[in-house]
Amino acid sequence: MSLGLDTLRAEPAATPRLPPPVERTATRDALANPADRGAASLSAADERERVARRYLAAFATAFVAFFGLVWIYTALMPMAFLTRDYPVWIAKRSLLSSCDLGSASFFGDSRAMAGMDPRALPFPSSNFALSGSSPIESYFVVKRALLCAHRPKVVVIAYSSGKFIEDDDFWNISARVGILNYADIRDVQRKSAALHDDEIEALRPSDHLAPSVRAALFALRFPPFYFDSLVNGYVAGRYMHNRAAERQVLADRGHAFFGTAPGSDAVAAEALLTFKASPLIDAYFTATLSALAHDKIPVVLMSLPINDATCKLMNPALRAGVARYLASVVAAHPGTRIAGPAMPCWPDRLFGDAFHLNAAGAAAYTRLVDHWLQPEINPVTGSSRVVER
Amino acid sequence: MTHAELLSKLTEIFRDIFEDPGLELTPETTAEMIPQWDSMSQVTLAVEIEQRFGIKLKAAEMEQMRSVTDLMGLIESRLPAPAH
Amino acid sequence: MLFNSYVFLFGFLPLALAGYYVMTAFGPRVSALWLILISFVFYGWWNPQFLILFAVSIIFNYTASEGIARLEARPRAQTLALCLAIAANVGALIYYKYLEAIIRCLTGLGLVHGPVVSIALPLGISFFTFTQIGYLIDKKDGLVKERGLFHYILFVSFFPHLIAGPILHNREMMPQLVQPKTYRFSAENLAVGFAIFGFGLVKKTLFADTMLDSVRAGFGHPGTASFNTAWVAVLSYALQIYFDFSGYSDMAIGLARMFNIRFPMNFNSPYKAASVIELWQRWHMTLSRYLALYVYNPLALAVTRGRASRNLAIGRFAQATPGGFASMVVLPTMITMAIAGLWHGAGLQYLIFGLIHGVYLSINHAIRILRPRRADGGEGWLTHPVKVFFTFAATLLGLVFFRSSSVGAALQLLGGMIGLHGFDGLMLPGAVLAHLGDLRVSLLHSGLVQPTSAVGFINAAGGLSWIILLYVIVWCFPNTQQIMYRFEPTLGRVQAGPFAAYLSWRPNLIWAAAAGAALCLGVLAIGGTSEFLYFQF
Repeated sequence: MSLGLDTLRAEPAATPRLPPPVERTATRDALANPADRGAASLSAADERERVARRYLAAFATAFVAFFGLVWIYTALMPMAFLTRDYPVWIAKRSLLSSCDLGSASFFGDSRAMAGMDPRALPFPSSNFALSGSSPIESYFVVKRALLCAHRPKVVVIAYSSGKFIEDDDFWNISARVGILNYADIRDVQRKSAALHDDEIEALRPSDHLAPSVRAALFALRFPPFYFDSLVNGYVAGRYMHNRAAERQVLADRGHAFFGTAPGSDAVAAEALLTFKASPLIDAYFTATLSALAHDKIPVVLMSLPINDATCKLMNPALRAGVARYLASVVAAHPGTRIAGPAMPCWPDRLFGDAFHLNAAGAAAYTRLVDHWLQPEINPVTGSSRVVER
Repeated sequence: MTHAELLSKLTEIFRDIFEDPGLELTPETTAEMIPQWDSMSQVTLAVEIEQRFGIKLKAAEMEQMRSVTDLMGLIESRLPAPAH
Repeated sequence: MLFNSYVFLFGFLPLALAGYYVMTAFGPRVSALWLILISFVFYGWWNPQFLILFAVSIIFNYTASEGIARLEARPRAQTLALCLAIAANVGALIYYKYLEAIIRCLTGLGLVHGPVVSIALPLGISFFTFTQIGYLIDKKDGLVKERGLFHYILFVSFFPHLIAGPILHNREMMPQLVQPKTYRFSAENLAVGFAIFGFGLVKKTLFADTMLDSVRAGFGHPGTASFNTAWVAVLSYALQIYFDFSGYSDMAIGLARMFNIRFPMNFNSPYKAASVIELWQRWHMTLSRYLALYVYNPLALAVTRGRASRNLAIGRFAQATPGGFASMVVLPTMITMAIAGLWHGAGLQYLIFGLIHGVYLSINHAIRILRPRRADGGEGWLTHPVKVFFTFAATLLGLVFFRSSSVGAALQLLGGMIGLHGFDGLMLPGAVLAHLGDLRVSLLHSGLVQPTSAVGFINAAGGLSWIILLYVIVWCFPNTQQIMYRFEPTLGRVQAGPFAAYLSWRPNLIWAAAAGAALCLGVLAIGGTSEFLYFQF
């Protein structure tokens, strides 16, 4: 069998021809329906239609069956193809549902997930920080935690500056992995409309879907939204890796590393940012603080470090803006305080990648966390002064 | 002018333009069969036909001229009616 | 609205089809009205304000065409009316499509100082403007049979060809639109249409869109693109634009067929062309046809007639002379290709793209004029695959300009392609390198090889394999028309292609499953195939 190289010799069809001008040949109108050729008898045409109808039925069935099978797979087997964010969330969700909140519960973004290690603390604690999340996500996670009878002695919230500015992973991670369910997403969409802040919708203009439709499709794991993971995860290739990650994160009470290099001078996003608090994120942040205040749980706001390489390029106004914002929030919410400096600059050797602390960094930061939380964990011996490093 | 005369006159024109003294035309010949018959030679053909038959063709009709039958039909429609 | 979107596939199309088949019970007029209605909905979905422009354009051009027809007895007035109408259309096109670029250019040259102008581009304006200009010209030439405003509106607004063509000619469309038999339910046409549409969707979402990342990596950073990055980017772009356009043409043809209407062929495996002349007979065929009809032929005819009337020779011998060649070949070709280039976009790089192909075509014509005729009719040392290779290489050069953000960027990328920005070593997984002992050290030092993780190697190898597979599909497999050849997918004759025994569509169960799987894959891939990995920034 030839490799089909003779195909290269395919005749070019002449550039599409037009039928001759009508005034010369009025009867040579192009007909769209091969079945109308004069020679075809009526029964032959009927036969073709019958065959075509059967084909259409089979075609529609095949499409629905294939699509349905993929949909069933994406709905039921996310552990097999989703990225690590999924098993990490599953592990933390099981800590939440078993109400294993510890004495201290940590909430924040991936920097907090890498930098705060419950195993290094002398008191039980759980790390509920989530990749790519902002105070919007932690609002819903905190609400879930508050359903527990057991209350932690203190709640820590630690977000990077960028996460007060925008939640650009809202769809890519939070909706996709299922951190936010349908009701949560609808809540965010309603609040956005009320505040006239369309930043969340503006993150996904290209699918032109109505907000409620998109929320529902994510909740149902609509397959096209997950096709990229199916392809990159080789359909089921991530299963073992994900199960191992889930077990590890559960055992580490929610802690997980990202980059593990012995040092990183890569530059993080802070080098480019200017601080401007998003109204939507601020609304959820203050709602979280209010809910915690309502249940009389003290809140400590912390700030994970930035590496030196980024600090060199970062605009100092960013840090000032964050500090001002957090101070104003604390002033408005009694029972909340700040511990540690805003966005401290730490040496590159303590970072495993541009954003996240490595083992040495996490150990160092967790020691500080231990120190800062003494007033709440051991109220008799600790002081309630704001502790500066 | 009869069909045969028309065909032979066309053959003459084709042989001149494509510089192929041995070229044979039949009513079934189409543009795909003659490799040199492209958009450029189409124009030369049209003008040559206009000159030799004393007729005028429209630019839009050139798109029709992709086979000998087309050409013959086009030329015949433009020629003055033969005297009986 | 786009064909490859959820709204279209799960909302618009089923409703449009269902409504159409219901309306056919009420007769052709009502069905045609339904088509007009849904076409306007389709057009105005994203930007309703452009519907006004669209409607105005249609009404204006129809009125102008009627006026031109009425002036038949006064040719000079008729020509004047035609020119005014064309000027109005071209003026609108320049305003929406080119004015911003022109102002930017003038500002850059320091000739104009003013606010930055930003004009939103109405969808498909190039297509419906060109279609209507063609109609006007034909009207003046007396080549149009009058069908009334109603069918004119349907002709211009029929949604399958609205955003990306094919550029339709009234002579091939009007007879179908006025024919009552068009307005009925035909299971066969629906089956054929969906098969063609499904293949087109897969080409767009699964083939074309997967090339985006490699293309951006090279064209986005032309100043630093290494040899490897530059070549991968250009080869990926050649695939992207091929499958993008081929896919969109297929989808348009398939959609029209669902409504019992046949479109002309628009794309016929252009990379299999053995010359640049042949390339343009296979690439965007309706645009080539349009430009030949309304630009090239009139120009070439005028020049050639002019020479003939001055008793200058016009045959092949004359074309071989510099004067003859320049006037009869180069002039019309360069003007036509300049327009072809600029039609695609507002920018100097598009003009350069057009001019490059103008030069190619002129050289191609020169070779045909000057080539000694072989007695045996053979091909000599330039065998077919070699010709295809050279044609493809020429195409790649043009595409570098076509895709680059500016002429400077194009030149930078070309520099990368000849190695001016260095070479990346071949990726080898660390595990393999470890087994190479001493050889490993010298390989790494020379820069021929760079170590990478196992995952990195698999990804890179996978990416390259995908590109190779797509080229195999481009060069060795039948195109959609050839697969469907038994059912006359487009107007005009289609022949069987390679592997016709296995790859010819028929309404049987196997093809039902294959077409269903293809459509499913195409829909899935709308979500994209490049994953966002938080870890990786």
